[in-house]
Amino acid sequence: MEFNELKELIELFSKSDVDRLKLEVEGFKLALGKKKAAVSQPGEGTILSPFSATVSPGGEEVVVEAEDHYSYVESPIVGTYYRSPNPSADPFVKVGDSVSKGQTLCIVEAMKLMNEIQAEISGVVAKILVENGEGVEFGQKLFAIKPH
Amino acid sequence: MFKKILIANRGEIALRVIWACRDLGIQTVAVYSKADELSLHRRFADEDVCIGPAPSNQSYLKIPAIISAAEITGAEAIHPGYGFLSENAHFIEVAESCNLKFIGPSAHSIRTMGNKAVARETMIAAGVPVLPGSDGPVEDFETARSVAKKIGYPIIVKASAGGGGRGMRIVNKEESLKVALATASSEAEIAFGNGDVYMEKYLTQPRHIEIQVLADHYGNVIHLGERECSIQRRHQKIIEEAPSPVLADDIRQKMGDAAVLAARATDYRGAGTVEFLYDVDGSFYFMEMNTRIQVEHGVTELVTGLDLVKWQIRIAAGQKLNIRQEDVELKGHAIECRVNAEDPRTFRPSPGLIEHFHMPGGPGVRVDTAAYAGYRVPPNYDSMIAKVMTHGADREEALARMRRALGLTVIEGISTNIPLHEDILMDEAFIKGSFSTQFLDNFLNKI
Repeated sequence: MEFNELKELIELFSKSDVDRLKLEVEGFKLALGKKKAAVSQPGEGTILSPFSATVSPGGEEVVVEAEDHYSYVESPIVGTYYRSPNPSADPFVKVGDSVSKGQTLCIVEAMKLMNEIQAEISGVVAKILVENGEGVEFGQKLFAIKPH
Repeated sequence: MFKKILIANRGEIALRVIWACRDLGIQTVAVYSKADELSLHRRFADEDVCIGPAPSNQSYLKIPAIISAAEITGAEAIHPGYGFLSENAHFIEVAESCNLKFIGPSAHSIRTMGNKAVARETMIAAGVPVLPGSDGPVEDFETARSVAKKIGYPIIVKASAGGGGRGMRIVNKEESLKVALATASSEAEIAFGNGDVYMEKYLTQPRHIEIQVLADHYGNVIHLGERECSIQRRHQKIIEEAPSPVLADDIRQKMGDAAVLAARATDYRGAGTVEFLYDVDGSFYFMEMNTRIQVEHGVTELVTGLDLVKWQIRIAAGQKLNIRQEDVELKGHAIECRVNAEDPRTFRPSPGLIEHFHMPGGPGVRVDTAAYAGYRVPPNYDSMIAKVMTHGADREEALARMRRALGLTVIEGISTNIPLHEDILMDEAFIKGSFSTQFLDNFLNKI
């Protein structure tokens, strides 16, 4: 991404109503966030924290998240994401699959323990947001489910 | 040398470790809870992993989350900072079983020093002076009564597995002994899961003087002089200095030697601190050993010119201590004031948004902080937000610089204890250096 493009993007983001923007393109990852101050005194408005932009090298396909109508499955633990019960098996789910509440969607392995992650609602798998074997953190979005 | 270190902590100490790693060219991994998304330690680390929601026991104390974060980032070693898991022997064992190096002492050293009664016995065997007291935990009242009589009242009953002032009872006369033993024991059982108590002579006006030690894996152990930490409120230090304003050179040497003996007796590795109680007559007694880097390590760094965190990392990586005891020199005088986000009179925590923030600078000033303008101090963790340190050619200069530094510090939007520090720095007894661990209680009652 060129410097001018980046500058334009940040300005656009600042002026818009969007709270968070995460952009990943080849060789480039950008996360922008706005921190809103809680109303504890009269006259206190939005404060753009000095800590609002992080840029780091490396990335995968373009993923743009926004507030929308998906229900996200987040990882409840830190670990490694696996899409199948074992390397030679088929993935638990693929995009487009219908899933029901309680159905196992993936495994997150932590300290040699395989934790099954289950769907909390029924719906259709709209997006898989992680790569097989990728490290995931607490709260990281794994799946976007479109509720039935 | 390590290529990548995970820092299992937050706030200013996490930043402190990042500084040392950057100096050494080591990659850093920060872990953070949801409450610390906008923290500086996350910002400045090379990589970061969110490990849980705000509560410490679901994040910074959650061993699987920390270990897993090291695994997915490829960190080879973990620096635990202070507090949290830094003195958790089980954590060390788990880390080592996962091929992760723990930057600190062994699980064995921590267990030995973590049990106060065992620590005391170990020190007696090593020839380190200890307070007259019971031989391990007291089993029955009759034994307790005769030991107390031998020691001489006042005595203090203490929990073997305890700390932080809990499971302790001061006993002034024999009539109160039975009740004190029973209540201290139940409190200990509830707080620590272990009701064992032991007894020690109680010094009424001691000074808390501690010695910093460094030990490598090759049998080299040195001490780096003392820190005076008597200005405490409810066993929490708020002002520390190096050296102590009262310690004579010969006593300093004796205490240093005793601290080295203590470290050797537990096969200690890394940076550690041996705490002593110092009595008015110049006698000193082992109190406990802190098997971690401490909050106040910076004042020792200022007077010795050494970087203790870098030494922790080097020692853990298998490097030799290339400093001999005779090379250690304490130059000048350093003071630290711990700045807490709290009301300076009521001590009620004051979390919230810091609107304006300007740290002091100029000659002889060092500030360690992870706060900034616009930072929201979370309510979930301890209230210390900055350590303001000054160094001078002598105590008078260090004090003058501290008054200057605090006077030119701006922290607005939350309350801090800076006004309390400023009052203490004007107190005649404090300025003269004549105070004990009773100082702050008396000072607070006066104002």
